[in-house]
Order: sequence, then C-alpha cells, then structure tokens
Amino acid sequence: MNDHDSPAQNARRLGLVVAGSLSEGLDVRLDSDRSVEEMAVGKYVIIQGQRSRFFAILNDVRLRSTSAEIAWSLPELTDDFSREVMAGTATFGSLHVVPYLKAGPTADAPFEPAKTVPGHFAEVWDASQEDVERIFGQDDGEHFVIGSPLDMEVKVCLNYQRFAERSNGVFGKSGTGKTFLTRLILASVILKSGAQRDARKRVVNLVFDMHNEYGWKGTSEGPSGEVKGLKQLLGASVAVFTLDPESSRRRGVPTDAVVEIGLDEVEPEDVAVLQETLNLTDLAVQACYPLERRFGRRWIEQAIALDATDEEGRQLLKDLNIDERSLRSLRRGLERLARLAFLRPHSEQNSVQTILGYLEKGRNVVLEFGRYENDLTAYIFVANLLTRRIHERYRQQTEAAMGERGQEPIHLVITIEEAHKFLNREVAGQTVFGQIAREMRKYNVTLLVIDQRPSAIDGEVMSQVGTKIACLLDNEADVDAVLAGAGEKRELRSVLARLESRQQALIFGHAVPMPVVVRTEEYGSEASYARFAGARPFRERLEDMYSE
Amino acid sequence: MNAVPNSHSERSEESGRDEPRTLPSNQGVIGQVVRADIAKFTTGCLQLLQTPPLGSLLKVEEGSTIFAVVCDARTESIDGRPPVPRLSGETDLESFLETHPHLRHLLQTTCDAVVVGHQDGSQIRHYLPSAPVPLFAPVRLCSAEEMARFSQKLDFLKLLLAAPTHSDEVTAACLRLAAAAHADGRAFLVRAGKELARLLGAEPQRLTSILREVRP
Repeated sequence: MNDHDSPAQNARRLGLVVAGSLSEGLDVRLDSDRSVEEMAVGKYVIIQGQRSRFFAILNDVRLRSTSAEIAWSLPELTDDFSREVMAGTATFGSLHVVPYLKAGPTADAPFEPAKTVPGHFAEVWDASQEDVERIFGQDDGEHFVIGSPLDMEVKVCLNYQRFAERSNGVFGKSGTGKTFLTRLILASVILKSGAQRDARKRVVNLVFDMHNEYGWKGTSEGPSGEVKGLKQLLGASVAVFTLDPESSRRRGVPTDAVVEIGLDEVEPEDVAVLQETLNLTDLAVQACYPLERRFGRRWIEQAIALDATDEEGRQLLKDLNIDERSLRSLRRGLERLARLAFLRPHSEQNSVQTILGYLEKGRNVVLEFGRYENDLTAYIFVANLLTRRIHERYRQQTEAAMGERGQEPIHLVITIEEAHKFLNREVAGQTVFGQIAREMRKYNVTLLVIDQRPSAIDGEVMSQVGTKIACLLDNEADVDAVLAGAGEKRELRSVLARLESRQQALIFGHAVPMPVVVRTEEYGSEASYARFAGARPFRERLEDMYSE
Repeated sequence: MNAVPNSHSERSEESGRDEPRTLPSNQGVIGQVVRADIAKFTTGCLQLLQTPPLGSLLKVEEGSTIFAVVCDARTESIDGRPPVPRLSGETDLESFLETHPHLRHLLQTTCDAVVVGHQDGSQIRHYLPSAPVPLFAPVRLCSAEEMARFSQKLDFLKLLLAAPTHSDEVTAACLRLAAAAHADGRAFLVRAGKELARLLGAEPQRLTSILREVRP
C-alpha cells in the first residue's frame, strides 16, 4: 500500500487499475480475496493515485480470465482448493468504474470534478463512510438527508442552497415512490429554509397538490395506510388551502383558506393552455382574444351566452372575425370550465393575494384539489392561472428590488405534478411554467416538477432542470430524456435501469457533486418524524411569529 | 548428464514423499560441489546411495549463501561407463557391495540442484547470485525452519519452473515439502498455487498437472 496517504483503517482493497480512460471509465482488476458477488453496481470506490485520490462509481462487473484458453481448459479442477487458487489469478473479476471527483493527497483536501485518471496500478479501495460524508456533506445547515448509498449506512445529503437555486425534477414511473420522495424533499427544504439566517437563502413553497398527498396526510402502503403531511409535521410554517372545502372536511383536514376563482379573473391566456384538455381548435383559442377585447372582464359569461343564431350575434361574430364553428368549440370548452365548482362568476376574495400574503410571510402553501384530483383540466387551469399571477407579482417585486425600490421577495419554489402537461413541446412555450423553467431564478421563482413521462417534457425545459432525482424508469425514451445532458449517460443508464422499483433513486445534477444512487430515507415512522421535530426551536420560533 | 534418475534416487524420492514431515533438520553436510553453473550445480554425495529428497532445499555457505532445490540424482560408475552386469547371485546392492568392497570406490552418487536464490546480508533474494557456487564447497540440507523462511515469498517459483529437468515434478515436490514446513500448509499451497497460476497463465496444462500433485 502507498505510504503517503492511506485510506481509512477499516477500508478494504478492491484491486488495481489496469486500463481505461476518462471518457469511458477505468478497468479494475479485482483482488483475489474479494468476490464479485460482494460488488453491486452503484457502489462507491476510492482510487488512490500517486498524488490524488479519486472518487468513483462502480458500474459494471465482469468475469475474466488471463487467456480464453485457460477458462475452458480448467473445468476439471472444481475442488475448493483449485477454485481458491484460480480466483483472482488465471480467472479473476474485473470492475468498471467511472471516476467523478478528485482530491489532493491529504485526507481533508476538497473534492473537485475529475479531469484526469489515476495511473496504472493505482489501488482501488472501498469508499469509507468518511469519504462519502465528505462528498455529500453532513446533515447540517447547508445539507439535508435524502437517503443512503446502497451498500452503506452513511447518509447522502443534498446541498440545500444548490438545490434551491435551480428548478429540479423528480421522475419515475407510477408507484416508484415519487410522492414519498417529494414529501421528504419538501419537508427537508422547509426545515432547512427555516434554519437560514440570511433571508436571501430562505425559500418558500407553493405546492399544487393534485392528489391531496402533501398537505395534511398522505396515503402509504405501510400498516397504518397513511403518513403525516407537511402541516402535521411542520405545523404553522405550512398552510393548507383547498379548492374543495367539502372534501377537505370529510378527510378531516384543517384548512387555512378556500380558494375560489372568479370567471371574471380568467384571461384568454389561462384558457389557451387548456387547448388540449378542453379539446379546443386553434381558431377557438384565437377567438378568446377578440372576445375579451370586446366584452372585458366578463368575456367568458358573454361568450357562453352569445347566441350565434340571431342576427345580432352573427353580426358580432363577423365584426370580431370569428367563425361560428370556432365559437361552438370554444363555448363547449368554456361551459365545461364554468361547471367547476370553485369557479364563480365573481369572487370577492382575491385568492392570488391571499396566497401571496402567506408566501410573503414565509409560510408554505399546499393547495389541495379535493375531488378534482383526477380532473386534469382543473389542475392545469388552476396551477397555471395562479402561477401566472404570482409569477407576475414576483417579477414586479424583483425588478423593483433591482431598482432599489423594495425588498426582493422570498425565493419561491412551485411544485407541480403531471408536469409534462404544462411543459410539453406544444405548450412549454406558452405556459408560465416553461418560462419559469427557462429563466432560472431570475425572478426568484423556480420549479419542482414531478412527472412520470419525462420524455413528453420539452427538451429545452429538461436541460434547465438543475437536479434530477430519478426513480425507476423503464421506457427507453423516458430514460433518454432524463439522462439528456448528463456527461456519463451510458454509465448512468445501466445504473438507472437496475434501480429497484421502490425507494431507490438516482440523483444527479446541481445539488450533488456526483451522481448517486440512494435508498431513500425512510418516511412514515415516528422515528422519521422525530427528525423534523428535532427542529423544534425553529418551529416554536415560527409559531411565535404566526400565533398572533 | 543422465536424463533419467536411477533406481536409487527414485527410491529416495519416494521416501521423501512418504514422510514429508520428517525433513532432516540436522545441519549435516551431505556432500560437496563437483560441478557448478550459475543456475545449477551438482553435488557429489558423501554417502553412496544417500541422496536428498527430490524438491528439498540445499544451501551452500561459502562466502555468500546460495540456495538450490534438488532436481535430479543418480548413482553411477566414476568412469562414466555403466557397470557390467554379472549374475553372481547377489541381487541386493548392499550385500553385493559387501561381497565386492572395492566397488564402493568405483561408484559415486551425485545429485543436481537448480539454484533458486541467495542470501544478501539478511535478505533472501529469489534470483540468481552473481557467481556460481565454488567447487568443493560443502552442501547442506536445509532444515524445515529454513525451508519455511526461504518460501515466505514465492518468487523462486519462476526459477524452479525453468529447471532443466522434470521442472513440474520438482516444483510440485518442493511445494509439498515447503507446505509441510509451514504452520498453515493449505494456506501456503493456495498462495503458491496463485503464484503458479500467474506464471503459467499461458500454459494451463502444466498448471493443472502441478496443482493436481500438490492438492492437499
């Protein structure tokens, strides 16, 4: 072993680097006393070079022999002695590892992206807990725990600051634990945000909770069938809003406010994003604009009431340059929309203002959809409408702050599910979500997108996603979409395809120094809740703040 | 040099194989160097018909210490011609020699050994010394402790595998004796086996045959 810097005491040597390249990874000859059966794709290893330490991920395991002939000419030696002799000599295991990070020779030198590879016969060791902790940080003010590597008991943390400063995505097919993971992330972000001294480092969340999973309680496959939601866990720092007060009452959810939207608040742009779900023709969508110009705020009611059969109506359509078929298509759609119970002809309460009021105070808002949980039209309509207005306000405030005429608003993270409905190629250009994803955090708003069909999301938007958290995906196109832009696509693909279908995720991007596969942190037991209760002083502080 | 060991040396090899654990531990001189190359030497044995076991470790301490492994042995007439067979009644060699005592002076027993290392200060080096062993230097049989110490490292196997005669048999015999000298003989054999597997990577047939002979 090298004497200049020995890996941790309890670490075991895996083998020696024998070949490879930076672009394609390194081949490691496995020591004869190590079994290929102990290896697992995704495992971390340390490579001790002459001057640097490299941190790498195992991504393939192979059985090899010194010559093709030998493997075939030894089969009669099947006793234990011969097997023991042959293991690691004439026949041996080889590992394929990809170096990601490199550090100076001393134990506390920081890791940085690897731009070269270690030399021939550099020793490869199991990464120790300390190494992993040094790379992924410890659960402190700057980092929050997301899970553990597959074969270790150490925690993997995300860098809170780096996570918050970009839009992020949680991807995975149905039933792989996206919701659990998202709840964990939201709870952790809220907790860490509260611990920030610098107000500019705080974030506040707005969650469009389509399936009523985040606010008060969520469903689980565990024995109790349910887990605590954000408000139960974090108390006053989370407010639950609902679109369907009856449903919330039935489920025993204490809500903070009911969201109503006046039809007179709806603008043509809010209808345009519903083109697909309301089955509107292009011309029908175009027709919204002249109607609004003509009728002002009450354009939807007027459009529904418009009778194209009488002379006056026909003349009006002619003036507005709308053909009758388009009007019919539009009217059908608007009627469907107007049937949504939370839409009133006119709403006294200003929901946008209420939500903004909470957000400005640093309170996180979860908007439950109640019975609309399977109504994509309602979800897209509300999420888009509210976000457009909130984003507009953020834009004004941020610009005012730039002109030194006010304070920057607290950084807002908007969580949306079924993100491909907002961010697909056809509408990403039109919706506010596409805009938010593209402008990064220019106006202090970013997204947390949750989706099971990442291939349907606009590639340009995907490329702006800072940290990607991928649960199992088995559709080729989805895997490609998630990995697009990742430097080590081929290597990650083999890791991603072998994730277990639950509670395992591949995390890569801005908030982690290198890709990492984790068993996601347990959520749902008393012990797991205790981690968040550990922030009691902060909670009490918050409760003091909001108790009046 | 004879390519095939005579019946006497075969017998002594067998006795060595039968009783590997009773290696002679005396430091007694078994003979003197009568012919020396850099990589091998021949010992004229002091006792007629008394040869060290095949594969056993010899040492010559004359100036520096040189180690060698017995790879061949024979008893023959000193003029190089084979003895003329006579049917005089005695077929047992001992009684034959008693009847014809002058024959003791006309026959000699020699053994060949392949040099496998030398001692440099306190370090044992598993490569050839800079000069051959001196003629007439006394040759000793190493004790079990010396054998164990010498075979701590296994680099000498490459020299053994290159022995001019019966290299595979000699290697196997040497490993059996060394295993008996080590506290954990099996672990030693596994280690040695791995070294052989590396050295004979391209010759699986040789490797298999040696492994079969040393398998505990």
